[in-house]
Order: sequence, then structure tokens, then C-alpha cells
Amino acid sequence: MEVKKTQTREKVLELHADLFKHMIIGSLAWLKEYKSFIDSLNVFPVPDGDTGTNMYLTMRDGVEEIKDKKVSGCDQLAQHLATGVLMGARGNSGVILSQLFRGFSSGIKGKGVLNARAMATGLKEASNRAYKAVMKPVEGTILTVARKAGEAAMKAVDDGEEDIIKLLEITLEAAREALRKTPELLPALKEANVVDAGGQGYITIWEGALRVLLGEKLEVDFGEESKSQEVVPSTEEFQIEFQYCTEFLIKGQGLPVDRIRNDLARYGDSLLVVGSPDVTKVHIHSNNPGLVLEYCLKYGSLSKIKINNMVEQSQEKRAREQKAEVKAETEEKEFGIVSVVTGQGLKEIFQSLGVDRVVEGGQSMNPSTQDIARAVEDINARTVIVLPNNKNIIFSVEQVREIVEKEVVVIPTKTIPQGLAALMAFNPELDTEEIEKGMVSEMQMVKTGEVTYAVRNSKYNNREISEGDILGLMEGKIEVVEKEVDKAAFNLLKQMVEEDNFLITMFYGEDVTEESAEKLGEKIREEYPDCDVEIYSGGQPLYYYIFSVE
Amino acid sequence: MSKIKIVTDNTSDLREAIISRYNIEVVPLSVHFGEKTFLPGIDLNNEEFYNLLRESKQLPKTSQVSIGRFLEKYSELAPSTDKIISIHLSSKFSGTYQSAVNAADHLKEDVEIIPVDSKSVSLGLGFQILACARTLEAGGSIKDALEAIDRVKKNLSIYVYVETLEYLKKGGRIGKAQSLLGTILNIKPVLQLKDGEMYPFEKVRSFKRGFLRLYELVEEYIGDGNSEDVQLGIMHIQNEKNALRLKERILQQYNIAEIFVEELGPVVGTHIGPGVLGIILNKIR
Repeated sequence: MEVKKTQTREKVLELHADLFKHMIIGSLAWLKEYKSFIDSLNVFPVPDGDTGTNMYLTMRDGVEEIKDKKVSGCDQLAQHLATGVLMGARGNSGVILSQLFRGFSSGIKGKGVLNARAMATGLKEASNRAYKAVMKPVEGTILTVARKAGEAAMKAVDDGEEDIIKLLEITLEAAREALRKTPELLPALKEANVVDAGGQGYITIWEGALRVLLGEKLEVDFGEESKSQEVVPSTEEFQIEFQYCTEFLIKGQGLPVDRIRNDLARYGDSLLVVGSPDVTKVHIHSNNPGLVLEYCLKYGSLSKIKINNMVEQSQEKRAREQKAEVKAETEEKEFGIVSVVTGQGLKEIFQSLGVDRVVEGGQSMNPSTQDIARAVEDINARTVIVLPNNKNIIFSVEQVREIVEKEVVVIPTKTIPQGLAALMAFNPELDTEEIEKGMVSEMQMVKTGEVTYAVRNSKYNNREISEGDILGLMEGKIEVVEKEVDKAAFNLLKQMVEEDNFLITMFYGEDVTEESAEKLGEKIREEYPDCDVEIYSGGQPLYYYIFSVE
Repeated sequence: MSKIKIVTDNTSDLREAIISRYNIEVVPLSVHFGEKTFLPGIDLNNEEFYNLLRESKQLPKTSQVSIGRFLEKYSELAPSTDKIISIHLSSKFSGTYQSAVNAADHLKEDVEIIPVDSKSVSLGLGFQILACARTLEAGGSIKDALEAIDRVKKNLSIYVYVETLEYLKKGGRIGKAQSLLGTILNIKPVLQLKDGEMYPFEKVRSFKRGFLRLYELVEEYIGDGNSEDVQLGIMHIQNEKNALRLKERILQQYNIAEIFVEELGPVVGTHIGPGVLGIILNKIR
């Protein structure tokens, strides 16, 4: 990504707000172009929380905030940008980016027009701020790149540089050098033979800004994308035309499967007639389940009959959801709970355990700080407990503290099973400190396993991983690589289950059928006769199975 | 010295030996299986009851002690007694206490009867009776006895692990634990008996965790204090093995003044269901 140098070019000694705004928009456009590339640098080939996507979405919210604003100076612009980015922060990389913007903004405070020194101060402050925000700063990440960039910028202006374009070129050079060296600092990068994704993101952003200064036109079309991902309302308002979901087996001899299929078509829809001349399974949505059953009785005996009233089911679901909402609208209570959960089944489980508001992840499975803040504010409670259930979200959640007025207690759950365990320990009769203690201690008592697929080729912990391989993760670390889901699940459990464990809970995702989950469950029961095995529909995307072992 | 008699009901889970030792009078609540009525402690013991519970298709029901029964008992005692302390299970669980109050009022010309709502049940009630009986035996006045009862009430801590909330729900005694209903995940509740009714305390996912939790709760109750001041009741239903296991575990760590291991009687058992393990804690010094 070399930047073209033009032969004769004027020095840029000052930056006014208009141009600065174009630079910012240009950065976003450039970041958009390269976000997939940045994603591909992620060492961890797991399909969520990609750095490029997170940084892009985070910055986009910031740019949305400023694109129509009338401001008088660069410092004002930077401040609005920082606020927007703070709200939109998603994932760890998004949060660090928001801190960089905040630092930059405070570094140029009071400067309506920027000169080289102001720029350099902004860059330096950005890095200082980001380091402060991270509990345990790791070298070899975006932090190192930002730091080197800030240092180089300061040195340049101390040496007398006044041309902002030159300043940025020097800064970028230093940043690229630092990025090249990141594999030396982080062994995981070296093994995977990549540079740090976050660092690359930082460079991409400033490259975009520089290109604009050099006269390139970089724009983002805001019309084509909807703003923030509005969470899809869970209550489906579609009309149920055929009310009874009817399922059964016909047992007989010489069953005319095709004929039965033809004849049943008139009774409803979603018709499935499959099987052999001895046993045929029928599934249909109908308003006349009796007639369907009567008809099939002509051919044999019926077994495993299940008839569900889908209107009732959907009403019950809505009532449950409403109950969860009404809970928040009544009088102010002491404690409320917000939890980040993706997956219809999981969402219902969390709600049934007392979670007031569920926040679902969006595009990259990571909700923004604002999404979470909104949920916190919605609840009529004095103290709100937040369960992130994802180590990529903990950071965004911590930021929420600074935005809302209520007291926010973050229980640092890294996985869904940890979130559930913590929920078990929630007792509103206790005081805040006791509750926090209890929930944190309980969440540590459960082991988490996850089965998902690799989104790209990678080398991790001495293993070659190909795109599409099935991965088994234990506490977030890749322990198992297989070609089949069931095998991965089984081998993962082999590593997780110990002699004194007694309960294995399986949550199957939206890509797994109830049948395969039950089949796997049976195999697990056979393998671990001393354990109880419970199977629940989680409906989560991307993760075939989530296991909780205790 | 005035003659004071203690009257209670058959839900205290105090052993026969203690009842007779202190000359305590017992009026029974009854249990019905369909058409048949039983009086636990009189014509039905625990083993018989839990067998019946297993075999019967219907859930049994319980009935409070009627006013008539109280009138009978109080009148029977009146000639040889100056005062009667009639102490019973929580008024939130049964109308028995109310019946006692009504009967006492009816007979107030003949004998002074002081009805007491234990706001508890099982050994929670039992410990209050014991404190009262011991105080009286040691020469205390009725005022002392009532104060002893109050002290126990204040110090009582009761936690129960239940396998299911179904029995509590069907019997209508679920109280505030109602909020635990309707969880999709398989939850075993640990309940707390407070202020005469059931409260949700915690949720666990298995008996094992419940067992550990109960042990921890004993530890928390003792805290930095002297375990020798503690009186403990370990209650179970058809789960004696684990009740004894819990006792052993506690005795490995602590020197508890008095430990009782008892199976919950039929009246309470009807409403709580099998598979229960609970702890009833009190400070006696």
C-alpha cells in the first residue's frame, strides 16, 4: 500500500474542519475497502468478532455522527467523532479504536485549525489514552503501532517538520515498521505468519486520510446501508394459516408413500411424507388434524403422534416476551439484568431465568456499546447487572458504565455457560457486593466447550487448520480440529469431562437439527453413564454446539 | 408455681422421645388420600406415608386442626393446667394457628391459652418448642418461655433444596418461590423459609451442587462464631443417606451442639415432595 508521491506538491501547513472531515470520511472509505483483508489477518479463525469488521462498524457509527454536523473547528469535529465512536464501539478492537479517537480529540483540544504539531500531539495522546484504557496492554498489537506512530510524529515536529502531509508520511512509515515487527512481539502472529490485524487497521485508517490530503476522492455511500442494526423484533407477526403442527408415523405393510403424499396435500401445508413401505413419517400443518389421522388410519396403525397448536405456542411465546418486558415497566426495583445472547432458544432460556433485557449481536455477533447502554437504560431498576457472555464484548460493556447514570455491575462472563451459571447465583435479596461475589464465583465453576467452523486457513498452536474444518474450543482455545461436527463434539468432550463431573448440558445451534442433537446426546450418555446429559435448543448462529460441563 | 402445658401439632418433627420427655400435647393435622383420612403420628408413620405416596395415583391433601379439636384438647387440659402455650406451624402454611386462636378465645374464661405462630415448621417449630420446654423445666416463667421462643425465631435460618416445585405449587404453599417457575433450563431450587413463607434463594443445576450449597450455608451461618452454640436440624424426605453424609461432612469441620437428622413428616412432605434435603439452624447460646 505505497502512497504515490506527486512531483510538485504544495505543503499543507493547516487543516481546517472541512478538509479534516473529508479526511475522516476518506479513512472510513479506505477501511471499508480493506476490512475483509484485515479480517483475514485474524489469527483466530473463528467466525465472530473480526477485527476489520469491528473497526469498520465502530468507525462508521462515529462518522455517521459527524457527517451532517456543522462545526466550526477540528477539535469540535474530533470530539463529536469520539463520542460517536464510543457509542458504536464493538469488540475489543472497536473499543481500543474508540479510545484512540478520544485521546486524539483531547490532544487537539482548543485547536480549531490543526497544524503539524497539533496533529502530532493528537497522535501521541491517542496512544497514551489507549494504553491507559487497557488493563493489561499487550505489545505487538495496535497499541504498539499507535505508540510508535505517535512517537515518530512528535519527533518529526520536534525536528521542525511543518508540512502535515510529510508528517503523516513519516508517521505511517513508523507505523508500518512497527506493524512489520509485531510477529516478533507476539508468537501467535509469528506462527500464523501474519501481522497484527488491529495494527493494520490503524494504518489503513491513516492511509485513507493521507490519500484524501493528496487529492484522492474517497467517499462512503451512507444511503446503501441502514444505520445501526436494529435488533429484529422477536415476535413474528405473520399469520398462521394452518394451525396444528401434526406429526406421526404410519406403521403398516406396503404403504403407498407417494399416494399418501398426494392425498394429504389438500389438508394443509409444510407437508412431508417420507419413509419406506413399512414405516412412513408424516408431517403437516393443518386445520383438520383429525381428518389427516383418519385418512392415514386406512393404511396402518399410527404411532408417536404429536399435535401442537402453533397459535397457542406463538401466543405463549409472546406472553413470555411481554412478561419479560412488563417486568421492566412496573415499579422501580433494586436490580435488573441485561445479557448479551444470540439465538432464539438461548434468549428464551435467559429470559426465563430472570434476564430483563437481552441484547443480540449484530453483523459480527458483537453489539455496540450503545446497544447495551440502551438496554440498561430501558430497565426500571437502580442497579443493572450486565452479562457479556463473550470475551470480545467485555470491553464494550465496561464502557457502558461511563455512559449511563445508573449503577452498572459487570460480571465478566466470557461464554454462555458462564452467563447461565452466574444467573443461577443471582439473588436479589442480597446487597450488590454479595451478588457480585456470588455470581463471579459461580461462573468459575462451569467449563465451556464450543463447536464451530474455521472461516479461513490458519496455523494455530502447531496445527494446520483449513477453511471449513470443524473446530472444538475449550474455554475459547482451539483444542480439537476435525472434519465432522459430531466427531469434534465428541473429542472435545473427551478433553473436558473429568471423573467428578456430573452434568453435561448441550445447546444446539440453528444449523443443527433436533434429531442430530438427540443422536449425539445419546452417544454422549453412553460414553458418560455417570453424567446427566441435558439437551436444549439454543438456536445460536455459527456455533453448532455449546457445551456446559459441571 | 403455675402449671404450664405446651400444646403443638404434628408438624414439628420432634421425636416421640422428646415429646413425652417434656409432656408435650400434640393435636394432629390430617392427611387424605382420596377418601381415606390419616392422622400422621397416630395412625400413620413416615414409612407408611411415603409408600402410599409412591403408590397412590392421586396427590394427598392435608387438613388443618379444626377449632373443635382444639376445644377438645384445651378443655381436657384445663382442669389441671393454669396456662397453655399453644405453638404451631406458620399461619401462612395452615389455618391451624387461627383455629387455636379461635378456640383459645372461646375458652378464655376457663383457662389462659397463649397461641403462638411459630412462623416456621418442622424443626423450625421444633426448636422453638424445645427452647420453651427447656426454659419451663428450668423453672422459667411463662414470660421467659415466650422470650426463649422469640429468640429462636430471630436466630432461625432455614434452607431447603427441593427436586421440584410441583408439590409446593399444587399445594399452594409456593409463596414467593413462584418466581422460580417456568424456567426452561432444568433448575433445582434452593428455597429459604423466612417470615413464615417460602422464598426463592438460589438455583442450582443438580443435587450435587445443592448439597454443596447447603454445606456452605452452614459454614456461613457459623461464620466466625462458635459452632458449639449452634443447633442444627438436617431434614430430608426419602434421602437419609445424603442427610447423614451432610452430617458427617459438617462434623468433620465443626463441633455442633445438637444435630438432629429427621425425615420430614407427612404433612409437610405432602407439600414439598420427595428428594428434599434441608437445614434448619439455630443458635442456642
